[in-house]
Amino acid sequence: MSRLSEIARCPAAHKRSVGPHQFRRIGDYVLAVDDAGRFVFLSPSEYRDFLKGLKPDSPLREKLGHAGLLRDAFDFDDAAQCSAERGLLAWPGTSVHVIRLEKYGSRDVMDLGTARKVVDFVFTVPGPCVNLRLCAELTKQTWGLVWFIVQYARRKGEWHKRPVAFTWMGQSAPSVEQAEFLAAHKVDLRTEMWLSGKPKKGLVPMGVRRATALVQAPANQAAAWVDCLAEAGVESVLLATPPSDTGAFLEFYAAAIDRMLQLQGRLEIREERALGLLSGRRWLLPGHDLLSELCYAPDGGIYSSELALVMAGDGKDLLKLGQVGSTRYEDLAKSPAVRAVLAASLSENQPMCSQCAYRAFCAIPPSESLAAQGTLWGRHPSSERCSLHMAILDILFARLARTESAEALRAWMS
Amino acid sequence: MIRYKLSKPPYTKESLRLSALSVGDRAEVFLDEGKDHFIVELKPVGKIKESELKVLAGEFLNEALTCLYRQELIRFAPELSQATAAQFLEKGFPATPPDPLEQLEPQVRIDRNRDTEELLAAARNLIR
Repeated sequence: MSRLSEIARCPAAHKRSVGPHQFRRIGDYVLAVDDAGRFVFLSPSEYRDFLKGLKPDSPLREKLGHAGLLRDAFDFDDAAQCSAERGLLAWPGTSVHVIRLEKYGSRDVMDLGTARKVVDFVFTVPGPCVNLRLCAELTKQTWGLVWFIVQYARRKGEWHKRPVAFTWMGQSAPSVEQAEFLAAHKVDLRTEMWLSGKPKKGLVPMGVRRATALVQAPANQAAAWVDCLAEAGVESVLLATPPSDTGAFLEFYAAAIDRMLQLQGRLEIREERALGLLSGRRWLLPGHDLLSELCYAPDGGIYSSELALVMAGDGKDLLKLGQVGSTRYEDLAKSPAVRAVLAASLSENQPMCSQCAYRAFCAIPPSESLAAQGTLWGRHPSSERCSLHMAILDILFARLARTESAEALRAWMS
Repeated sequence: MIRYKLSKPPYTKESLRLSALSVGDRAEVFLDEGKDHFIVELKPVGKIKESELKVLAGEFLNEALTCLYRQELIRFAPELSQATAAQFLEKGFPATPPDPLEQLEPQVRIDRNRDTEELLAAARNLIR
């Protein structure tokens, strides 16, 4: 269940003084957040004083006014700038293009003609950088595809003067020759792994800098696992929970974040979900349909995310947006699926989200709601992802509330 | 099969139709309307336990209530969400303009196509 916090004996808000905001109790503090995601931490007594209406000489006025919480001292320029930077209208275009080179559970692979069309389509999508994630196990056939896509996209990047970044995601280790090619073309290696029990040396394949880690290890092993990943050269990790084990995962997550903050300056390792959530930009959240990710099937189908493609394999292709070669990028806006995904991504319209303190930071990918609950909108009061995001944001904001860890966390985010 | 009689406020036809989508292919949903109530029947596809059917019906009713609440919220702040969605759809999808060099210089396009064909040939050799 989602949890919205309450403060006992909260006075009614002073209508002329208190600006629109949401609040949440975090440890000894009350977090107050405005619509644009500007926030302050107050003690419960300060928060009550604020609700009752601050006196003109109150020392809290400056702190609260800067966060946009005082109606009579509202900084419209700052609020507008903050909204413009974080709102959907500042979306720079899809940041990650996931290209699935082989079908799930079969040996059917993309053909070279389709691969060319996919790259051509990707280069019509606006955005500061073209970020391609190639997903496949390395076989002779898929290696030919990886080789072509990297070379072709690199050339297109030069022709169109756009930076291109590559990630290859798979379990099989590349040969020496393949590893040399990938290194020469700055292809980041990403792997998926299970963290269970104590860390084992050699778990992270050579050259892997990014990882998705499914956590089954106890919290007291979190620091050891973070050290293990960082020492193996992993710079960016997405910590994920296997279904039905969220409580243990969160203990691990909190300990892992603390260790990552401690390691700063010696070994750099960051957690992707934390960075995405704290940025307040929905398009930086890993796996968010269309906003952060588009996915291409081996047959050239365009899907709103990788999860949408996985669901299509089970016969649910609601989130298929088109076909490379026949769909133009500008046609996507007319697609009913895109409109539905967009509507479901607006948290202002969502029950619970509309009154949540974390509304400016959080979003749940519609494909995930569809997969878990059968509805694109999601029923957030009973959504596991909602509970997970709230708990993770509690962990992160608890660290932002304390001066010493706040500085480390801000440096880590930058 | 499970059958519910639902009063008209708060339930609306739209909320029941939307929540029928969430049941997907697990059950058929039948809807009848009286003056002040709706009759909803959920007929499971295939054989399922009575407890599972109750869970499914619970999901359906949860979704219907969520839909109602969502519609209330959308009615409460229509300008904001509609303006954001409309502008996003209008301005968020301008395709990257084609490379002017490729448009103005046919030879550039020819050279690039030849380059790409050579890459494709080399990739075919790798696959063979």
